[in-house]
Amino acid sequence: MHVLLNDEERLLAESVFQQARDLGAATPGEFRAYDDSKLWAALAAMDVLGLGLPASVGGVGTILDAAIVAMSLGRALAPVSYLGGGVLPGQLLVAAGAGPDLIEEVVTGARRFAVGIDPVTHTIAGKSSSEALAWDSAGAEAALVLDGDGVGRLVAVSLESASVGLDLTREVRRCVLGDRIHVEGLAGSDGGLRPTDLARWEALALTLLSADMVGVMEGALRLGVEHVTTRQQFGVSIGTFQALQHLLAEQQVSIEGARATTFFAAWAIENRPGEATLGAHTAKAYCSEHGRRVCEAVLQVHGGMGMTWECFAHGFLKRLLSDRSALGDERRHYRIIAASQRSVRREEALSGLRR
Amino acid sequence: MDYGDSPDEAAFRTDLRAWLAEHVPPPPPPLWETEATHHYKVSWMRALYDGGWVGLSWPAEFGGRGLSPLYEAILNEELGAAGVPNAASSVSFLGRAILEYGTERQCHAFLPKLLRGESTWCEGFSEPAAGSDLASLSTFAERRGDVYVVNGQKLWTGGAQYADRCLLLARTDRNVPKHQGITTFILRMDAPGITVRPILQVWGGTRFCEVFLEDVEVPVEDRLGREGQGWNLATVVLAYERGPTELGVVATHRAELARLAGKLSDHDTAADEAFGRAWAAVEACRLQLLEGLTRRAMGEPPGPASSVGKLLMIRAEQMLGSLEFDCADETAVTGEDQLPSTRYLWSRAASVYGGAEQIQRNIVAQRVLGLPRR
Repeated sequence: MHVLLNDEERLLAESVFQQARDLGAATPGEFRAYDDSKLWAALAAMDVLGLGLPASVGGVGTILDAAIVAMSLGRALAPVSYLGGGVLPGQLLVAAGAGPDLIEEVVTGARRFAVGIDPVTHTIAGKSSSEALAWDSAGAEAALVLDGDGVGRLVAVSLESASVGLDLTREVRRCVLGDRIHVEGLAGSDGGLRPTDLARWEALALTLLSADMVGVMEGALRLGVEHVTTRQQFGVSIGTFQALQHLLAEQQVSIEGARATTFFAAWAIENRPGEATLGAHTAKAYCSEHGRRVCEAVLQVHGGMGMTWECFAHGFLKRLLSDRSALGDERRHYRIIAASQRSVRREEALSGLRR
Repeated sequence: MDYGDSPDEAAFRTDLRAWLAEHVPPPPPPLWETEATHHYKVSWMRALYDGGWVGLSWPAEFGGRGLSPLYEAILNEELGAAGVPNAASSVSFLGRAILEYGTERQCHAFLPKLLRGESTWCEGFSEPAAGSDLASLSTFAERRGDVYVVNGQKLWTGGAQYADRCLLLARTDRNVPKHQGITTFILRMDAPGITVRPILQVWGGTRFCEVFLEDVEVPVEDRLGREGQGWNLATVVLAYERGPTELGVVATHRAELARLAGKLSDHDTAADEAFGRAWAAVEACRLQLLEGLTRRAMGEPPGPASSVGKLLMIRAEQMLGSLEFDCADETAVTGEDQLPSTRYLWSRAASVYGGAEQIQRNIVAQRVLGLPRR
């Protein structure tokens, strides 16, 4: 057993973070009009869009690497559709057996797609869906949804133009389910997505969303710590007050728990598939609940400044809330965990009776 | 990254499981039966010793197997999953104190007996006026020729009524800063002048005691380390109190979660959410502990980050204790079933023992986040 990042992984985290900070928004006021093309090109040049894909389709690295990149982008509050417009549709296309040319265009960043999620079922929209949202869809030309329900071939549908969303750093757009768009190579050669492919993709999506949240928490807490260290009241830095020290210490504890569950979930997808789904629900639930609290605490320690647009604190909170809502918040995942353990017990009881 | 066992670790786990299948005793007595619990643990420790499972990471010279701390973690994990007590924590951390600070003679005199379960130790650290502020302890040991004469009072001394030795912290110098005037002693519990008074706890047991020391003589050769080294030694001991043993506790939490899952009804979403929340808290604790364990296996000593682990442990323990009580029916209140309330009340102690939650937060704030001291 060895569960710490190695030197290359730490280097990857740092270099992505530096790029994102150099090319990202310098002030919160810049988010609304931000053009992500430079940052997108930089990510493509760093070869991180295909992380965790099989080498046969041009992929390099591991899903853990993709999680590390997502963490760094969250930490830097990077306004770029790395997950929703890059890794998640890329993984979906490969799982559904899309043509190699199309996959290559996605892995190299030449074309961006998004994934249409049914806001009721919190899974990829399909035949029975009445609406679908494309989360983190900046730059995407269309959304991918399923022809059937939970299985089947992928089809592309058009996207409405972006409204001014809650998250300053990513777009959430509505899909026009009735408006199909032809995309060459999308149909693929076999029957499309199988239930096991969908389960794996969902575990992966939940895990990478968790990774983004871990990064957001880290970035937010860093901001909070810097603020309380420099801000003076009563003649001392407010970071000397135990009330604030304990509030921030609790957030550090949450972050370490969040990071640990996320790393395990990322590792399990490739190395212990039988535990991947439960690990992903655990990470997504934990990060959603605690991430929100971390960002709220950081807002609080900023006092009145935390309520102003020019302070980055709200950027972290809003991105966290967006990650949290995508594919369901902690309540959904806690219930899924409980249901899974109930059925494990029931199976055991039944097999005991048979014996 | 690898959360799995190496081939050697896997082989060890397989052997251990095979041994456990043959040797696991009936379930332990309930927590409030302190005396029965003590005897149960002693005989279980001896069985573990006879099986060759005690002192895995200790040098072979003292009866250990010289393995990495990961093997201690595997052992405790499997013991927790099997529903039996961990390898005695005294072996892992009191033994560590003797190993690191003891003379050759002390190591040979005390370590083998500790390993074999022939000697039971307690930890004489806290005092009525020195709890979180442990360094202000006032029990005094005065050097008189070949002996120290000890006077004072210890509090929360776990298992003092059964122990034959006590790792005692006492002040030997009142004229230096408080952290520098403390020395460690190995005290015979049958020495004249010692009075042990068990304290009844809220869950009914008497696991912790008051220990009164009146002109107790300790031979100079039973001093552990040099005069004034006591604080450093205590810090080392407390740090080793965490780590591999905690993974064993987490394994028991997982077993409890599995049992509680059987009590969940199909249509109670609030209970489901509470269960999921406790599950996630236990997993976060377990996986973060593995990070600390990896560092330990790489040879890093435990640092302030272990306070983060302790805080995650508190959260998991208390969430689970509350869940257990909330899942219980009216028998938990009528007293027909004492287990849920006992588990719940014991979980409340988690944020007090081994360094109160608030002290751990101070450590995280100042030594992990780097926030300024006043």
